[in-house]
Amino acid sequence: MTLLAAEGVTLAYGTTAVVHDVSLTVDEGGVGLIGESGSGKTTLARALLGLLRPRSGVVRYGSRDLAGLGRAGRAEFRRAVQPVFQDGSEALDPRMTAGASIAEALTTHHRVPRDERRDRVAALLAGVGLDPALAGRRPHEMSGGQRQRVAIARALAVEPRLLVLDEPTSALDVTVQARILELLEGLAADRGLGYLLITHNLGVVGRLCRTSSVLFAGRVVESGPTADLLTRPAHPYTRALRDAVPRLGGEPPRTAGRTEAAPAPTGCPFRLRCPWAADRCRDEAPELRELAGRKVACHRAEEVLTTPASSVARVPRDGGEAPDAPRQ
Amino acid sequence: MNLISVRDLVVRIGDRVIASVPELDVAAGECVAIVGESGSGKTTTLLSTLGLVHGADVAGRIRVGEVDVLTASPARLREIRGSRAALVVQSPQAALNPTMRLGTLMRRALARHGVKGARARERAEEAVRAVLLDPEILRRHPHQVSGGQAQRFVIALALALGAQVLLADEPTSALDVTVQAEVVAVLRRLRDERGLAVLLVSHDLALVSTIADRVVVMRDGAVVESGPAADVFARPRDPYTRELIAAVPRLPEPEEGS
Repeated sequence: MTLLAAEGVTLAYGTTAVVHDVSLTVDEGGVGLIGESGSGKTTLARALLGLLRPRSGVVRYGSRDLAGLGRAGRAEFRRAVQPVFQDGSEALDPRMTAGASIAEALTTHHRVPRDERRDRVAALLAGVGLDPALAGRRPHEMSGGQRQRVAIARALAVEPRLLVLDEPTSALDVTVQARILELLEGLAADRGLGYLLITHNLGVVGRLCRTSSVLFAGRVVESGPTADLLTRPAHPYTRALRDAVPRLGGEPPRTAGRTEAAPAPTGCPFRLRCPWAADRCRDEAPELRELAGRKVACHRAEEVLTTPASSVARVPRDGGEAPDAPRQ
Repeated sequence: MNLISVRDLVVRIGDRVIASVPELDVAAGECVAIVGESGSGKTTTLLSTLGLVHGADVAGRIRVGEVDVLTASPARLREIRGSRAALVVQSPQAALNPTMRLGTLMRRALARHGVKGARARERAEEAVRAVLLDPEILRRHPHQVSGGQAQRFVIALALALGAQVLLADEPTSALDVTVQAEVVAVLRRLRDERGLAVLLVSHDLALVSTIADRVVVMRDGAVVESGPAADVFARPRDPYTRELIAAVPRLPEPEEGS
């Protein structure tokens, strides 16, 4: 069932559009939104949380337009859809102890008898791998990783149907990250919790999300089953991201194209970084189209899909010019 | 030849040992990585090698090149930090004077080492190319370059001054994954082609496994395991190393073609 959806959403700050005509559906289980800094992923998250009104297009909660929700509808939405940001301290009142923050979330949306609160708070803290004794500490008395886990416990206290997680684990140690991912997997399996996971970490997306969308310069360039995107990417950008991820004990990560090049203003926005770029990519912006069980916006997606990994140059030479790649 | 040599290092704050490293050597043309989580003592160990740990007692023997770091005069220490060994940190932009073009920064640093005029320009351009940047970047101000470019510029600055030792503290963790790959490519290149000794501190085991020759695993201030990277990653002996390796999210392997 669709919990939250963007339909043709365009978002702008002033006159600058940063997200262009994006459609995205979040249902039970995990959905990944992959992109690097400046891709528009956090802006899109703000719109999905109802914090930013689309310039055009619609954000739907269930079947209802978020912009048209009444007071009661908005209250219900704020309970059901909980955000978790990269820096947990944003979600925590610096004057309140961790326990008080979590108890506040518990009692704002649900009736919890006073004598049960302490146990519920302890259980929520234990769930994110924290010692319940931490309940007495204030945010500045905790490490960044502890604060982030308290913020997640607070979001879960409300018993949301959906979490919008923006780089939730990038500030955490790997063993703590592994624990949080396990917790999220468990909640999805046991309670049908849905989540939208916004990240540049493909390993995390691969583990948690059944489907994913890849965002480049505010546009979805590829979307489909996460496993397909990671094993057989059809868009050169998805492929560049995948190849850049270091693998434990593997070959050094590959770099392809000039990562510093700004998105192109005309034609395909990725073409200045793309080893496959051809004349057509300069003249004509590719539309999202169906291919091999996914959607992809690339004129040469068929070739990207079938070119073996080993035939794309690994590292740019001196000066960082684009590697020799299959040209048309 | 070992360019960094550490013996019996113990760093204490009061009675608490925050880092204890019996032995750590980094030879020319070698990359040694210290991995561990927050509070493991990995950054303290790295900073100790440049005499940059303050407010703590540092004991043991630390040698960088010919210099005994713990007994050297402040002037001698400044000299190593300035030219012999370069420190690369997570957010390099903060270390670059925002009012100066990168070329001016580079020229002033070279002038302090007696390199001026055409020779300075040549040296600057050569160093910038060695880190896979276009010399055009020298005309820009720090806020006009990306995080990955700033990171590589800092490395170029050190190269221009003749650094043989590179100390990198989480150099890629603030960077996007494609940019991260470029910084790693630059580090590998400098190690292989210029014989730099690289001491890398990182919590990213996958990244470390693609560049380090040897690995030191630290936890709560102590070394729990060390050895050739290939051995440590393929056959970890310590349970904590195994836990760290198991925690790395895996990507499915790419399918070749078809």
